[in-house]
Amino acid sequence: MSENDAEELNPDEMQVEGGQSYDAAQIDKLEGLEAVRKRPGMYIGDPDVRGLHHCVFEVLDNSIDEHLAGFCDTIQVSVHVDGSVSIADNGRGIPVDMHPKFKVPAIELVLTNLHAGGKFGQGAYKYSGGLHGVGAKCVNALSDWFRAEVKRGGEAALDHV
Amino acid sequence: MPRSSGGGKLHSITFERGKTTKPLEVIGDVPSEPTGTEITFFPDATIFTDTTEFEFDRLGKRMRELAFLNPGLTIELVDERPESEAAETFFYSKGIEEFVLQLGANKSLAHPDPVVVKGKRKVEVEYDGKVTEDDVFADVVFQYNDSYNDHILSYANSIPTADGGTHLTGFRGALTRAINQYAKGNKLLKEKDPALSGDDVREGIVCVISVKMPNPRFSSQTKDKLVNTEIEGVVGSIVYEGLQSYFDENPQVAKMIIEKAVNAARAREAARKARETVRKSVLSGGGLPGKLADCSERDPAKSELFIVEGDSAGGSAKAGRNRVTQAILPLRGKVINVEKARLHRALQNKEIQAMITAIGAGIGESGGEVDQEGVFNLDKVRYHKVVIMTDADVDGSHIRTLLLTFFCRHMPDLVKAGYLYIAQPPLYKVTRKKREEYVADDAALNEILIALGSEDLRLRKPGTEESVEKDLLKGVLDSLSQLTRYTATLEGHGGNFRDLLDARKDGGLPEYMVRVRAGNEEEINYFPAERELLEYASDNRDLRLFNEDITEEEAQGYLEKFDGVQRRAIKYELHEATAISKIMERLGELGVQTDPFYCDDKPIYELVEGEGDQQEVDPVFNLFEILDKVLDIGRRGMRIQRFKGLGEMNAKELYSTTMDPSTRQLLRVRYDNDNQDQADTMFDVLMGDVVEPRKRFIEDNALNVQNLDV
Repeated sequence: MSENDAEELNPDEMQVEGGQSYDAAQIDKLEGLEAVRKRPGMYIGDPDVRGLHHCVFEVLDNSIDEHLAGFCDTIQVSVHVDGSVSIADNGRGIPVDMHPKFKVPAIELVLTNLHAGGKFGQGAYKYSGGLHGVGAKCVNALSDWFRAEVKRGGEAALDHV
Repeated sequence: MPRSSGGGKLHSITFERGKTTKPLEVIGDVPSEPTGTEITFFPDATIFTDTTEFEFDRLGKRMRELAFLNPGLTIELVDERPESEAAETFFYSKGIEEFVLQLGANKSLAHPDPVVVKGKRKVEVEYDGKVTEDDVFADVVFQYNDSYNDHILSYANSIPTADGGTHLTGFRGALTRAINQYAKGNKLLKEKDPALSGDDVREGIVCVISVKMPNPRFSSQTKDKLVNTEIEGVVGSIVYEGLQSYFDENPQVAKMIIEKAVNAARAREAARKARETVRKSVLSGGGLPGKLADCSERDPAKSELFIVEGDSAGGSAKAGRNRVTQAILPLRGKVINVEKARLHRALQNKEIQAMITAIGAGIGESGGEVDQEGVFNLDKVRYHKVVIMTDADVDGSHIRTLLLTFFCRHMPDLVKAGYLYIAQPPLYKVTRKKREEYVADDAALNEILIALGSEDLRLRKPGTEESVEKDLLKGVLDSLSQLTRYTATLEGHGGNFRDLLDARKDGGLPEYMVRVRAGNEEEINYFPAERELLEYASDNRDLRLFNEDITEEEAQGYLEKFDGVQRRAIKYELHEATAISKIMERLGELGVQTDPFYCDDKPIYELVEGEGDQQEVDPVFNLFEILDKVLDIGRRGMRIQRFKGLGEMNAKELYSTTMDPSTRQLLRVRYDNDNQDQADTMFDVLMGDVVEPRKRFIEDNALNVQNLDV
């Protein structure tokens, strides 16, 4: 599968992959991330001290992409007292609206489904490193816990929740 | 990003190991601006079994790089953990230009301002069969210094490409073309002269290449090499055109670069000849250097080469070695500093020649221009363990550094393959009742002496039977032993431990010390914290502790006040105070009173040796006497021999302590992409021409060394 396919959020393709029912789609999603947990090496390199830091860089790359797209000028990375780490940016915020086909918020889709892309609309991240959209969900799969907080409008999106 | 009116919401979603545990919900109202995303995660310890501790420096290194590559972007890094609290903000308005300046910071620069070339080109991009046009941006900044190596970093969309790729190839070709073109056109190079080669024009260059492009493709998952073919031409034409106009506008810089390249070409020709000589000498007359005592094993994987400092140690090593697997090459005197000499001069050096021929794999980096004669070939290496064995003194460590520099610079692949080792000869031989023991260093010796000396000893309050528990005594002695290292640092700065303790305020040790000198008089002042130091500084402005500006009149006033003597001062931040406090605390936990630490009129403790009639009692007036006494007792009946050099050991000793695979300890030298930049900077600092950073490095580390093995 080319980089391009991996990034593309193509509802038709998703449906084929996810099966007919909503539940089946869910299961497929989870299996996707199970693959990451089974073979982390394929996604982040060896799970050693380098791989550990690579997790931060994968998430950070998404913020850099927001910068390259012209929407973010400040990023803050914090290592907290409990050993967790935060990556915060002032970009547009990951979309939170309900995906029309899957009835799942877009943010949940992009953070859990290996084959859903981080690209919203053609060329939104023209100058990205290429792996983006895969990086953050791998980190999610490899985390004890993983929380995303998004500041943006998007009330309409939540009407469906 | 400006958004439509109406307030914003804070949304939150939580996962555990990739599974949604708290679905998306709105958890609060926020202003519509700024928008943003915050991701927080805790790595899964069942996956990251080595460690889940994030390191500030590792994070910082990448963030600094990203800030260089994205000018105008602010990246803040905050470590909130109390044990490693730190914060740093990375922001570079000039981007990679500042990066290049920083990479060259410890080098002697050939021109003050880096050369900056920027440009963009349209390329055709295919999205799902649809062809569109898109911009590719290339930023290239470089600057020359007087070193003989090149240092080029390349990035595609902020991703480091350690193995280069099409953007690097494009740059290299364009640089060579542009320089040759200008040289011929301006008669700086004669028509009949051979063209300058890529190696010539890159000698001493520090360069950062950054491209931003749609759809980058990399040769592997780890993205080490960019493979988009269209980029070579794009970067090539941007750099070529940019350089042409730069050279036209800056003829002096152009001339200087060309002269440098012509020099490099001459040296390279000389080096080629020298290399040929080396190669010939390998082929002729058996080839191996006369001083090498080779091993009989022919399988490199089982063979070891010991490079030994000095002929006498070389003799012992030859006599003691295992002839089947161990080869010995003694070196006489100091090896040439390759950081300051060109390759052809290094190749004329007999010791260097001997090492190259003994190892038998040529010299230089493998790959690249393979057609060159004598270029390094890892498969030909005759020993898979090359062991540097030098004396445990200052000279020995200097020679070791020179050898490390040589191997990392001129046989990097040998080092990267993990073939280079450092031997660990013992520093002491301890003989007691016919039992011999070899001891690695001072710390290990102290440990032995403490164990022996405290065997039959009790520490008690004077005139009572109230004594420190036997089991805890070792802890007390270890703590005191640690304490002496910090007091040594303090005394190195002119301070005094007793005065430091006297200056305690509310039990806390002073954080600052100021050493004031007036004529031949010296006065040491201690300050509990910064506030007191600032107060003192403002009362004594002539000392200029914070580089204050001081008027002529004021200075005159101070001069009169101190009888015309100009006072000078140095301030020290007492980094060791925290460590000292901790040790004092520990002593307290072990049941030892640390206040008073010193007492002149009556003993604070008593050391009791033996039992009953044989018992001997020693009064203790300061706690360090406990350690001194124990070490004295430990030394009784013991002969301690310090090996100043390897030559002081006989052949059997040298083999059994340092060379015997079943008992020795070797350190493997690690030099890879992860620590290469750091190591290179270190070599620049330690071996290069610029003196100031070297002084600073040595001073900075004087303190660190003390802390190293705590």
